[in-house]
Amino acid sequence: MRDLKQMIITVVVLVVICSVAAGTLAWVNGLTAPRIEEAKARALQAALGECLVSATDFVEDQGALARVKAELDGAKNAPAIDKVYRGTAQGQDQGYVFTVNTSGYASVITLMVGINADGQMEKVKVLSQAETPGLGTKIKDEQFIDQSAFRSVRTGVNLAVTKDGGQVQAIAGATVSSRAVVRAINQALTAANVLLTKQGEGGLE
Amino acid sequence: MTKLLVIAFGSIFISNFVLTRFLGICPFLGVSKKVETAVGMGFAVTFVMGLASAITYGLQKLLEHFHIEILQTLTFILVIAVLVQFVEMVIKKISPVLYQALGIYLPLITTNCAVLGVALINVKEGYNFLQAVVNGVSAALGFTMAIVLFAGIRERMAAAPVPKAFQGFPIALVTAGLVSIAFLGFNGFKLEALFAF
Amino acid sequence: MSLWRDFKNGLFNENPTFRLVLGMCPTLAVSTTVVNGIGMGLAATAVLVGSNVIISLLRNVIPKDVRIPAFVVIIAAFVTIVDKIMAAYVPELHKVLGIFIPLIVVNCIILARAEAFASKRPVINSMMDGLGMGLGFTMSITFISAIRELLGTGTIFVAKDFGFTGLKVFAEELGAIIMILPPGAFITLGLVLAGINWLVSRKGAKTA
Repeated sequence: MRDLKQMIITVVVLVVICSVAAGTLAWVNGLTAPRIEEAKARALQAALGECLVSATDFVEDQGALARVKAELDGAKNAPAIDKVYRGTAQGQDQGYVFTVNTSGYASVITLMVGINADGQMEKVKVLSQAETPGLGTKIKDEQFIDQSAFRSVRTGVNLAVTKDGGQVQAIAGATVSSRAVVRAINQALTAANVLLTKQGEGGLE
Repeated sequence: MTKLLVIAFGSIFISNFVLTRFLGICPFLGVSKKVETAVGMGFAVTFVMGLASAITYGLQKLLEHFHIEILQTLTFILVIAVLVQFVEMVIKKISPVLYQALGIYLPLITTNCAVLGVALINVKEGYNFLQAVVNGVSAALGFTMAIVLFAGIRERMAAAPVPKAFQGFPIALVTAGLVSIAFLGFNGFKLEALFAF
Repeated sequence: MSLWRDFKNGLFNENPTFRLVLGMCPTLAVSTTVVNGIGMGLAATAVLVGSNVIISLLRNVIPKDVRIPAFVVIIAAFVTIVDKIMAAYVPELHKVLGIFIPLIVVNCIILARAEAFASKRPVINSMMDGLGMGLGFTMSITFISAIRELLGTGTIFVAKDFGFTGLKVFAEELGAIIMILPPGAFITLGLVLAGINWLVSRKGAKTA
């Protein structure tokens, strides 16, 4: 009898602890989930705004992504356009922002590239990377990512690092990471070219 | 197939659990004085990590179905604890010889962060069932390789005249650092190209 | 005065990282910059204080044979709470620390304090113990981070993602990158532990 009573107490205590824990977590979830979503959305809007300053509103454009995917060559190691955002201000198209995945030295680098309606690249931003600390991670530094070669480039131009005969100053000791960024920008420029010229032809598509 | 090979090779060599991801350091330092025990620990961990990857995959799908991902950490750790207990009982029943060999390591595995770690990484990387299991097993093989290699070095070191302040953990950590430098050599392999048939 | 002793114990005599050699995984993994180290330390401290207090409150209710699973549930609940709060209010830090936040649940320090201290002592003492142990852990991980960040990059207290520009001590080109790579973690911790062993043995020899 004693054993049975002891066992029932044990089970009841465990069940109560588990239920209270689960209940508390459900409550915490209710409090934090909206804030987590909000923080994510805000971070995305801030990054988009930074890449295409003239635009105030951004919408994800699935149609544009499909058009780009159909036009670009899908070679296995080519950087992949992941998402396309169309930026507008007071109903006017201001350009596109692309998120591009490109394989760097030790990781997949995700970049955001903003190109305005004239085909001029405005800004490239590193969203995530796990390159070698102290070397490849320098792709995030202004000295590299804000260099003049990037700021003056427009569609139709193919960028390359100086080692490959281009204008882009690669990071010392991290040529592979630098090239990955350059490839991603070229891919975004080609994609922008597809979208912008199609529009220029009076929306034949 | 290419993807599976990339995952396996990556988990064993490039992002080795012990030497670059820093998961499972406690058993790595604690149970690495002899090669024999290191091998035993390695196999016990491989077994549990493979199973845990499979089960937590199903569990995560269940949590997602009911929209209670908030309970992820809680349910994962409980399932792993139960799993370890269960594995211990089954091995004891079907193979007393194996139990003799692994028995003492099994309870230690619950608090091995490599097991919970691999379950969380599988979810984060969005692996499917097969990829999750391959990742679990190969991460554990990477752990086994590291711990056995390290035990070999420590066996030799036992006879070396180590300064008093360095005896025990300090010299073990410095040695682990040197092994880790060797593993840096795997960094930057283009696996997709290597395994593209 | 015993409260102060319980608090101080975790900081020095039984410092979890340097003296008990517990919780090695996060110490090695996130100690690349001081800001990460402090963030990790404070997250673990919050869990430690919370779980110590609750376990101490329930110490006469939880049956002996199932205490470990009960402790694990309580700890896991606190870890999840800290994880979600960090995701909501400090998303950048949450992203950097990644899976090492949920992994606090298997950090040996927490379960060890629950078993060795909180399950036997009053609430206030347990709280002080949790605080002391947590801050002891924070202090150690910050110390290791400071060495690695300084020698690796020549700067200290830098976290561009959170808007800390930090302090430049010497040119970045002079930094030894190996210090912020994985081997640097092992070697730094090994040398620091050896240094502490040496200091302790010297102190022991003097008083003897």
